[in-house]
Amino acid sequence: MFYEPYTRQHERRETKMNFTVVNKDIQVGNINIVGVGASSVFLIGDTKTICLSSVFDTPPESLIIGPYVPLSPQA
Amino acid sequence: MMNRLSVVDFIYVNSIAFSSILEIGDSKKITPVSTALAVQREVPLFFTNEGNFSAYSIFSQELPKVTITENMNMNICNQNPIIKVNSIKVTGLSSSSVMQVGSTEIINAEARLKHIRKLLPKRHRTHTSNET
Repeated sequence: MFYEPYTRQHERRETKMNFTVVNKDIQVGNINIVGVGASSVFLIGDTKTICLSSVFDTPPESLIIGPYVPLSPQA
Repeated sequence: MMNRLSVVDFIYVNSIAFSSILEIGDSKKITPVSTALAVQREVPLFFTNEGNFSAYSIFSQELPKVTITENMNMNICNQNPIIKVNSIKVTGLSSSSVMQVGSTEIINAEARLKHIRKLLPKRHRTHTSNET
């Protein structure tokens, strides 16, 4: 169910939205960042589209208690 | 659409790792992709040929796609054509992250990480100081 696409209802498909952005003064002093990690963006500028995805898997099964066995080798 | 000019006087970045990008200047499309197996072992013994991404589904499963269906008309008015920053200090960029001073059109980043922790059974443990 998590992979099924959403069914969207287009009530009025013909409507066109008008969206106006006014960029006024932007002046920043000092920026201090410790980390930018796992598909993140730090941008000083303009952009049209940003699409970031991150898949992180730490399930309970990933904690393996057992004798030393190396991972399966590279294909 | 006229892009704004980004002006930064001072940049310090300590480290960039794993498919991360530091871009100074304009670009059209940035698409970093990184996959990683993070393995922690009680016995820190690792082999160079270890790890097969195809053995784990998270590296192959398809990501949900965002489709933009809205029909819209966007107007951007840049009253001040300059974005001014005095100084930037970043300690680390990692795993498909992007830092850019300048403008772009599309950023498409992807990071996949599988975390595995391996501990020995109790009787094999070398350090048992905390156990009663």
